[in-house]
Amino acid sequence: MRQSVYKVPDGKLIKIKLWIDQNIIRKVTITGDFFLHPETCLEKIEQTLIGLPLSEGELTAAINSVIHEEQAILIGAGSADITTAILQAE
Amino acid sequence: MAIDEAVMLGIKEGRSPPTLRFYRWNPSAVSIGTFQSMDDEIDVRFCTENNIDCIRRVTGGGAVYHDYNGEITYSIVIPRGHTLAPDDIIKSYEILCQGIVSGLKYLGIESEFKPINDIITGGKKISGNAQTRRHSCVLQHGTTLLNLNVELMFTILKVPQEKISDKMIEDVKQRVTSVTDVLGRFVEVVDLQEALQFGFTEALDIALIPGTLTDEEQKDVDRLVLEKYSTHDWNFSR
Repeated sequence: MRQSVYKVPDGKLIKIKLWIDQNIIRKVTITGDFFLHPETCLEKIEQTLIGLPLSEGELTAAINSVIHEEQAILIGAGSADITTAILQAE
Repeated sequence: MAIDEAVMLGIKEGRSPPTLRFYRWNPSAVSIGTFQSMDDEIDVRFCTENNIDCIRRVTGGGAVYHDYNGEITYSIVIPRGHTLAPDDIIKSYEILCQGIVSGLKYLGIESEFKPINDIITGGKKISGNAQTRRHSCVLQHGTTLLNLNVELMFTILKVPQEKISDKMIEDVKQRVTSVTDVLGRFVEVVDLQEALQFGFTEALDIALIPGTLTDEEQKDVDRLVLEKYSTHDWNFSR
């Protein structure tokens, strides 16, 4: 398992636990003190990242897609910050 | 937490009015944000041994230590669409946080809302707040610090003991403060509550009617405690 802790500049903290196999995400847990409305959206983001490669563009696009579908609002962090946290996991 | 959700359900079903509550935690408790991991953030063993409850909130944000004698928690539930709870989340924080700002002013403390969710005085945080929107309601709850015990806070939060340096404690004392620290005198919990009550009334231009939970609300509370808020599945879900 890989882990990271990323403090968003002027924002909140994102913590990642990441399981990968051949550069593909098998499981990811996103925790932290950010805000996301509706809160149920986070599990959907975690689910949608499964099977994706560790690619900055693909991860951010996938997160944005869930946020758009759910009409969700992320506060204290952005989609790109979650991606950064994931890519920093080691 | 169960009462907050029961009140939201009551408002959603048209049987409860918008509700403001002030309360303390007995026993003292630590609450974590809804996206935080209990095991990662909290020394659960220390809390268990010292009769400190560990609970997960429905709202985001960080871990808060609710010392029985060290803070007051408030909770306000308003139907969505109400003028006090606009869709703009940061704006709604700003509006509702004026209740705390006004209450602190009543005690002689000048403070201001600092986005995203803090109230600061003299550059230091004195109140933290968190919001969720569900059951057709906006719920905002928060803590206002009466006393601050940084050493105990660090023991409860999972900061490795070797990292708890004097500098780290000093850093927190530079960033966080309490009513007692600012005023330099002891303030009773009841006096802070009275000030906050006055503050919310004035800042939100509302009339408060004292009340207790209705039978339906209490029934929902009992069910939610049993099915959700007291369960390991909920509190340790992350």
